[in-house]
Amino acid sequence: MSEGNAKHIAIYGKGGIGKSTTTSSISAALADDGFRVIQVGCDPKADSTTILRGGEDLPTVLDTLREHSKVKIGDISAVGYGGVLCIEAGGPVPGVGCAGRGISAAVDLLHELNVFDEFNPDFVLYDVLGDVVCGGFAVPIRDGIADKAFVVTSSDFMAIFAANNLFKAINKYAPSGGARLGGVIANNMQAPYAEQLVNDFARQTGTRVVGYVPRSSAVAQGELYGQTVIESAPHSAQAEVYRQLARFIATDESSTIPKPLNGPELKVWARTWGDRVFKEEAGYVTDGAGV
Amino acid sequence: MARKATLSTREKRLQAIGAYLGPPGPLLAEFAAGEIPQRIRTFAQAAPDDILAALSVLNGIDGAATVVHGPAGCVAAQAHTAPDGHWAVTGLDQRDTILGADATLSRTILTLYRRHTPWVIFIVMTPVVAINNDDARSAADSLSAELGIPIVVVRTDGFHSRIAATGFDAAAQALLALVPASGGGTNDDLVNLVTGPHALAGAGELSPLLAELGLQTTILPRGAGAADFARAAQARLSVSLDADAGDAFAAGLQKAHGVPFLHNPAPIGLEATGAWLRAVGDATGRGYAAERLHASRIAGLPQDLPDRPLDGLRVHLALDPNAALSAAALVAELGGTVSTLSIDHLDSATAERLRVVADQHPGLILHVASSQPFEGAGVLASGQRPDLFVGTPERAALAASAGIPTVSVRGDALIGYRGAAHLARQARKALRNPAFIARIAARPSVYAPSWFKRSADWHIKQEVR
Repeated sequence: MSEGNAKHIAIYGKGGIGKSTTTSSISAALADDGFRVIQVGCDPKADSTTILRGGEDLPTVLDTLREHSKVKIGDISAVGYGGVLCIEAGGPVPGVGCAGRGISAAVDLLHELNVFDEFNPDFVLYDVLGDVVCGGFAVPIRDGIADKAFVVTSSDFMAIFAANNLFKAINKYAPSGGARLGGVIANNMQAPYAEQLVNDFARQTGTRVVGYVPRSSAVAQGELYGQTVIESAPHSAQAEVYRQLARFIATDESSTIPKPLNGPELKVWARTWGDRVFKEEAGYVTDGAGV
Repeated sequence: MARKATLSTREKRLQAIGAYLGPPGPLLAEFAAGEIPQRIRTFAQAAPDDILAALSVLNGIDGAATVVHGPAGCVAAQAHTAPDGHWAVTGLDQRDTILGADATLSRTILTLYRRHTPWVIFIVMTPVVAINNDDARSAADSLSAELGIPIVVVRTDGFHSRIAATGFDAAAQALLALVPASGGGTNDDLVNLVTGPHALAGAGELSPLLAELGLQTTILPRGAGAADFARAAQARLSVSLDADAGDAFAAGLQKAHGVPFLHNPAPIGLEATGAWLRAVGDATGRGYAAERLHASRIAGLPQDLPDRPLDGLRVHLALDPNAALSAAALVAELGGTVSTLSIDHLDSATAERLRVVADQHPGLILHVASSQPFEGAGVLASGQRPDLFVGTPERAALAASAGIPTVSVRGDALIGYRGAAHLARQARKALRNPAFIARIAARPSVYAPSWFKRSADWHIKQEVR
């Protein structure tokens, strides 16, 4: 763990899978439960914390660094829903520089500015871009920055593929002090086989599913207003799903080092599930088929 | 869509290898079969890379300036080799690597231009900008238009190739951008003498010889200025004095501008110099005059040049690859036998020449290594101890420390009749002064005797994929 008693948690997943929505909703739910939360968006798109801030703009750490040699906490942060301190690492202008190094530099700067000491958070959530495309994006799970990582995935194969890659990164760094895996967050659960598919992937990789988030129009509606579902529809079933997830993350202390599938194993696994899904959609009924 | 120009490494273009120790036969068989397994070192000492090779060429361009685009440490060697040169480093820092370094590059180019008003600026790329895929070309194009001078990106990266000579190709590619089309005008009496980074001594020997044949010469790229590059495409032909560093430029002139490239081994050795002169003479309609010139030069060799001064001596040659292969013939002419040939790389373009040298010098041992002084010391400490060592200053120092009479020389100083006489004199001096070498050898070695218990090629392994 980094500074103080804060729990530092990194949330990874394929681009577009709903990481920022999930992370922001967890942050909002934790804040509602009285915790002090910092959310750090580690994505050059800099849109991680948008729905905690009513859609307002926030200067990114790297944009601020570009324009000012001396940066203060106030320049790069905004207080969002429930007092969540929102920070966006940002990235270089598209097509130049190195976004991975940018993540690394932004995290370094937050430590140099004593953000974690001064704000004294209970939780710091890092919302990290998609696959671990290079070493820079692995920074939150390296060097003891985050205690634990959660991986968001849907039942789509490319999301599972990305999750498996993230497991490889965690598997590489965890033995030398990097973050361990808290579990898999199954997002966008809509297809009838979706939960079982993600469950099976978790079983194959020695991990666990810590929450199932169904697809919901309430989430999409809230985002249009620049709000999490915790804020826009606090009494909805979807808000309760996020609260349960947040409470689990807040209280659960266990973690694992995942055992990612290698290339051929993943292909065989995917093909098996392809056959099962095809049979289901074609109307095959066989004994013991649980799809 | 047109792809931007690419640069093949020497490994890909010529199947170059950078590590080998042993008789040349097995390696030549691999080259003949067309399948050359790459060797790697399990222990390696620092060696030049393509950036240093490119800089060694660019530093010699008259009136040019160079921006090394990278962190300050990338010019540590440049500060040593070209302390008074017109160059600058962008000195990239953390911020530049994250946000892009276009502005820093532009600022550095402008500063360099204001300070030295060069006629051309080269941008030498380094590992940091290569990994980041920084776009130096946009800054170069934009400022080139603004300043009205060519600003050329040199496609080095410091890690793509294990063979430093790849940097010569990168430099050649950049230099070719400075040669305008001839516009149809050709000077039949003009010959391009294409040098390497050190080859002014050789050009100084050959240019007067060609003048006696009625040929003017443009010596480039070493020491060349804008006017020299401007007339390069008008030449009757090009000849390269340093195949390792200069052939890519000469071949590029042929490809881009139709200037024929007379591909002849460097004129090192009396016979080779005669053959070289005859080849140039034949190609320019002066064959008879060249033959007479050679005969007169042989007749006019210095009287103090003894006949076969290396008679019976085993000589270790350690020069650039093509120079070493040419110098082997000179050693034979002077009566010696080459016992070991140390070169920094071997490729398919030189393998056939090595075969000829191996036939001429039975028992020859080939050592392929760039720098690697420990390995070199191991070779000298093994059963291959020569009577005389002829090598570049860095390698010569190693041999002198091992107590071997040594001639410190670069390949270009061996070019022509003067070069042959130079080697004969220097060898005689080295062999007549054993006390000097004994004093050097008396100093404690940096390597403990136990280090040499393993064979000299212990760390060279064949790469298995």
